Amino acid sequence: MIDKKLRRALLAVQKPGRYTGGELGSVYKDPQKMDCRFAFCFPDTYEVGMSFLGMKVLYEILNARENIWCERAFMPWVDMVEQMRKLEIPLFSIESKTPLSQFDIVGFTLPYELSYSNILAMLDLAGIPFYAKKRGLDQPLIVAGGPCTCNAEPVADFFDAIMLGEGEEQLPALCDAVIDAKRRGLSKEELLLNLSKIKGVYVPSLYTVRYNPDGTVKHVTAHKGAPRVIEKAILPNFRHQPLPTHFTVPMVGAVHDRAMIEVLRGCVRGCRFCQAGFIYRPMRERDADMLNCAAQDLCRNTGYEEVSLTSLSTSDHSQLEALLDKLLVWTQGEHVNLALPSLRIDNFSESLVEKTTRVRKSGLTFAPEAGTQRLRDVINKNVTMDEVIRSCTLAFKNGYTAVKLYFMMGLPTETMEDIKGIADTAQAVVDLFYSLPEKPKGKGVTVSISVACFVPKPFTPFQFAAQDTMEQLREKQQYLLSCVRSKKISVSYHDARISFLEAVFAKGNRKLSKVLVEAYRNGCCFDGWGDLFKFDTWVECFKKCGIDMAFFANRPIPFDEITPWEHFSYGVDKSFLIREYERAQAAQPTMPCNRQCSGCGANKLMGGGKCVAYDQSVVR
Amino acid sequence: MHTIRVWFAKRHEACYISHLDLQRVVQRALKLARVPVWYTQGFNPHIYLTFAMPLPLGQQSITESFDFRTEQERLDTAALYWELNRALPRGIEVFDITPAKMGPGQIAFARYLIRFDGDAQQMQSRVEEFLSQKEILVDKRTKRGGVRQMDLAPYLGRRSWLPGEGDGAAVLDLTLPAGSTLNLNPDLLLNALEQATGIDPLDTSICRTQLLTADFKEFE
Ligand code: SF4
Repeated sequence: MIDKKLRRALLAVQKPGRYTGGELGSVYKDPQKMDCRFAFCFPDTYEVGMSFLGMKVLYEILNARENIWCERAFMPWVDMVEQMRKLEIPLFSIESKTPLSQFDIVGFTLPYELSYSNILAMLDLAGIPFYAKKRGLDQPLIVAGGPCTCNAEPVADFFDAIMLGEGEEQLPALCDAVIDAKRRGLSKEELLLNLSKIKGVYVPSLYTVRYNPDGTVKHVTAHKGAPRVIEKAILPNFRHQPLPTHFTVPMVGAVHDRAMIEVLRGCVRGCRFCQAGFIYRPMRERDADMLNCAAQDLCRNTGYEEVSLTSLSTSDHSQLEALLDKLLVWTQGEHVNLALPSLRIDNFSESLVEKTTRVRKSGLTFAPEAGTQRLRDVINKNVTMDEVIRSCTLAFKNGYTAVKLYFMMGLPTETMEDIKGIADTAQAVVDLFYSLPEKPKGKGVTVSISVACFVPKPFTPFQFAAQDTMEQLREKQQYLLSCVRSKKISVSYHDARISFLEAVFAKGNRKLSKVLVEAYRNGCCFDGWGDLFKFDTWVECFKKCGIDMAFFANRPIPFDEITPWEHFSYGVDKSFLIREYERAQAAQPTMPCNRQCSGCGANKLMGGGKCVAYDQSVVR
Repeated sequence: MHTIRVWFAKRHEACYISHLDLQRVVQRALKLARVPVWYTQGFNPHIYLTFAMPLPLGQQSITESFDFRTEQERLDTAALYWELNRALPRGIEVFDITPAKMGPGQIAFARYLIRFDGDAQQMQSRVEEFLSQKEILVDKRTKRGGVRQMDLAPYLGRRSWLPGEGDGAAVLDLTLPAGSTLNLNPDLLLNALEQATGIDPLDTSICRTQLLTADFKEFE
């Protein structure tokens, strides 16, 4: 399967194992017996993509079907892109090395906005035309899913269909519709119409968008019976939804190379900046026994030495401690470490620390997100300074000496006082360490603060907010540096230009597709990779296309404006987002779902009535 | 404590697994196959694992091996064989599990089959002409990162051509030094061959077939 051209390319690049597949858990089938061949494409490197849980889940679900073969393709690294161009090797799947253009369906996951240029690069390398309207039945159906589909308008022109929401049942349904169309010899139009009838499937070509003279959306019209509003797909019974137990184990080091168990989906917290916290509502947990069995199966099937309990907020699982007890029964004996990535300060209890430190003692991370209580109330991050101090005290007493604190700057209503608060918070943690008689002997403390730039995202209460300009952000960064006095504190912050472009695409509309094509033609690619990011090229391309970047990023959106994503629904009502935005202005926090339902509307996704997020959880 | 040697072939896709990655792959496979391996003691226990002689990226081999240790007196090697093969990636196939009789330090030579695609007769005479030169000078990278010029000609004595199979290729059976003092990668020879004759290394393929001691006994 590896021909001479490919051998030549593989011998000329770094880490050829990124392109050759065959890993334990990878699936091989007889192509002759397939009704549908699906290429699952991740628009970033192998290492990044192989860390992405969604891909593993869907790979296993599709390949469980006898008549479907799902293979993988990743964005080749720049050295491989160069070889492929030179040797005229079209982009291929890493299992069978089949060119993407020979698949029935090519499905991209949209993990983050800055990967959009890579999607074009992958289509281009595959020799597939960018625009959906230029592709006939001789080309694969090009579809997308993943987090960014909640506002996929900037890339809508490139896709035949875009899937909103949870893919576990929706994606096989889409494949079945394609198989059916092939069998019955349907035209592409007929196929697309059928796809638009699947829950959560958005067929961009069935909608026209009209604009006002000021550039805002006037209205979006649905054609041929396509739903006026596309509501996301959601699993009816997440609690007992099986977990993948046969990960493909990467051989070239992935970023997160370990067993992952998704303990819950969604989040009860409602932090007002967090898109994931809203688009995955309502929060649903998995059964603890089921999680424990899946973790054990997964470790035994993969040989992984670490299992991580992943979710947006793992410590909110109502049976977490019971689950940890179950896991600790076998993990140590089988040489498996336990990792809890998203612990929250406010319920970081003594026994929890004890349970995780029994296995591994490394750095601790906390995310207060804002430097003052007022601003934390604005963003609804219900963490108090007392809780930070209490958790750090606990951690230091247990031998931890490194703390990492995550913050954001540029948040709505933020003042320089709040920026200073970031430095003060870090200083308080340093002071705490030295004040403790029980601090780890003979060791110093290191507190690193990492400061991201706030990016307003669709479907959050802050979707209406403007992003700070790059100048404002830079000024705040400089001010923060001047506030830090201790050598024990290190500061890192994000590139404001990257966050700016991210905001433009997050809130963008269909007009941005031509900018993307222009930027790709001018060499933009791997924008998320700092050193490959060509900001000046982006700015030029926007200018050339006559599109104002600030219109999307730095302009507040009035409540009554029709947003580019107004025709999508994630269950959360716009009126709720407005209410939350107003509470934010008044620095009023909102209770987490498990304590009190705030009536966001997401309960309607599950048929209405009492919401599962409120129903199932424990009051802490 | 016993040292067990697992013999395997590395072919197809697996040729592109680097040595570093292969170590991790085998660690996981041992764990996965529930092999009763001995873990090193200390702060960060890990599986004791050594490889006889790393294979350069892109080459195939039917004579690779790695060693693990076990405290068990008896091992069900037949069961292990199945379990390990189930746990290893495509292209890596375990074919035997034996006690380690020799130390990897005893390896002095490696034997290769090098296949040259093309008309068998013609290829053989072109390559043979090159190999029988009095002197074949190549630049060899030293361990310290420098480059040293050396003559390959004295090391090419143990070679023969396999009888043609009529499938459009000439096959050379060649033994090269592969010890700790001198280790000659056949790629070095193929690159020199390309420079002299224009034969594309991609029209060739290399497969390591045997590891030998200083007195040409098979490494066990
Ligand atoms: S309906 Fe209530 S409990 Fe359910 S997600 Fe919305 S706010 Fe939370």
